[in-house]
Amino acid sequence: MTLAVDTPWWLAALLLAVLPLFNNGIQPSTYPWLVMLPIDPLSQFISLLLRVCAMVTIAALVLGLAGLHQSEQSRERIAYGANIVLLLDRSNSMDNTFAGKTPDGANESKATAARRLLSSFVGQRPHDLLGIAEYSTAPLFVLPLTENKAAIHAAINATATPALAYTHVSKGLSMALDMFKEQPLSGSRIVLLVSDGAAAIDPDSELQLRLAFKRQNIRLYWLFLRTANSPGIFDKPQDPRDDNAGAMPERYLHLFFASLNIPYQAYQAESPDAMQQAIDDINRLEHTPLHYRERIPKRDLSGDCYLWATGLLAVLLAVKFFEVKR
Amino acid sequence: MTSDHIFQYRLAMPSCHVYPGAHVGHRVSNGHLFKRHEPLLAYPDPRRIDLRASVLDMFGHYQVRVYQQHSLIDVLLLADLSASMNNNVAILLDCLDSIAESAFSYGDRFSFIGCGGKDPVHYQLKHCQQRGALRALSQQLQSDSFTAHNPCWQYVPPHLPTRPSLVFLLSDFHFDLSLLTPILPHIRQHDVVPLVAWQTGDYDNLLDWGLVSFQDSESRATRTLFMRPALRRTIVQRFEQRRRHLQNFFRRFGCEPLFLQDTFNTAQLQQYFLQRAA
Repeated sequence: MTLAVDTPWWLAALLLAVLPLFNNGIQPSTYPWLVMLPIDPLSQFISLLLRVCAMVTIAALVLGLAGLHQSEQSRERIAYGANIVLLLDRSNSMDNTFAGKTPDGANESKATAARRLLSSFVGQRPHDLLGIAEYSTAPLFVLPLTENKAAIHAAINATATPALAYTHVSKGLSMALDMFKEQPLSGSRIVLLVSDGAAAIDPDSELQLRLAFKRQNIRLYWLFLRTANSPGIFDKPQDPRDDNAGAMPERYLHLFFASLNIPYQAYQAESPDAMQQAIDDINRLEHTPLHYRERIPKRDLSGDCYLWATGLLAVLLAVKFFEVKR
Repeated sequence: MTSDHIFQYRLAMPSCHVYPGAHVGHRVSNGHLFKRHEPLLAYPDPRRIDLRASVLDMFGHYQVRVYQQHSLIDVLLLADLSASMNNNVAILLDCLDSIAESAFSYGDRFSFIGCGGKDPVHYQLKHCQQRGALRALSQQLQSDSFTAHNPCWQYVPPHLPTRPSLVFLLSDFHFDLSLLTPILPHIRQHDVVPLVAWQTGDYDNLLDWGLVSFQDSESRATRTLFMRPALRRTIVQRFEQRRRHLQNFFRRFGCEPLFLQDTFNTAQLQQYFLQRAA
């Protein structure tokens, strides 16, 4: 535990804490000869206690003024889990239901379902390091890899805001991969792509993504939320002329992922239940030992200092009322 | 000065002063009590020639009757003026007035020695028979505060009278009694009356419950006490013990201490001397 202060020069006032050694705060009345008074251990103890109380009070006040805090530190931890980056699609279509309609009371939108299921997924995995990235026309950096569950839940809930424009998956993927750059190589690294559509990847990005996927040693899960009557990722076009990236981006993105030679699994979910099943699958599969450093944030202790000072001052005040003068 | 401030006293031993006064003395001269016959050459007072004794004298000398002369005595008030006596200033002033007035009423000479801290005998009145000097001293004592030291008795002996005198030793005796050893051999020849001035509030009127801090008036040390009935009883007991200790201490030197509680009472002193005479 490392303690630090904001304004160290206040600590000079700690010298005041020796004042109670000279005066215990009780107004003395003169007495002709102290030898006539017996030496009483209980009184001596109370007197000592008063002095200590007063010293601690002054010290607590000074430390509070100086801004005592516990500095930020990290703790080494080993747990079963994974480094997971959730890459969420924020395109317009995510705000529609699985049937491709505006959500009403009975059917929730794909985004809402994804939010709900991902929240429970995060809740079930206490030791994961999670990061969140989103993409639409441009990628959105939301949360770096962290074990702070409150922040993760907040980031997932933040996707409740209305969605943005189009789908630009390659930039989103690069950002998700970038998140692993500064992480130590420990535990499995997972990118969970949640989307309801795809887009063609231009050849430049394709090359970069191939390299990045190889370098970062990533496992990729693609949770494809299929809208009714839209092309699936496993569908082959009936007309060979339609078999190109422009017409069937989902199929070609799937083929691209499959060709990366990395552990890759695609789930095509057509309802919230199917999505739940896919997430349970991932939950079951990804349990490998994970070695990471947990960061413990800076903790302000000045409030505690003031609390102690207040409590002790109350004690001293009570003693003052108990004081008698001759 | 009213007569109720005055008490009657006697010196335990005969006075050997030359000057006539009110007390039984060693001197033979004029008086009422026939002592013996002396030759006329030794006491050349033809008025007192005893013819019958002269005729019977086998050498044929003239015999003169001599009488016991009453002489005056010196009355000394030796007062402790250390800081602990600050609470007892009223007693000190009353005592000073009463003893001086009584001495004046007998025609005796009154002396006062104040024994304070560093300055050994700051207050001194020697062989005083005037009320003016006494009043000046009294006012001075009233206005001054006393030094925060134990009384330095060792400076006192040079100022003590050489002839047997009546010495009142006024103090609270709140100090180690071994401090008194320098003066004890010197005051042995005198008739000493130790007056112990105590304040009842110091031990009897303490509260049953509460926190109280006491500061020694001389050493300035403080002691905090958590008062409770048991502790209060202990303090009272200690004062009782101290009282017995003082009595035993002074009885070893042939004098009985007189305890003045809170106030000085002339009747108490009067009773003390009456008891002693009985």
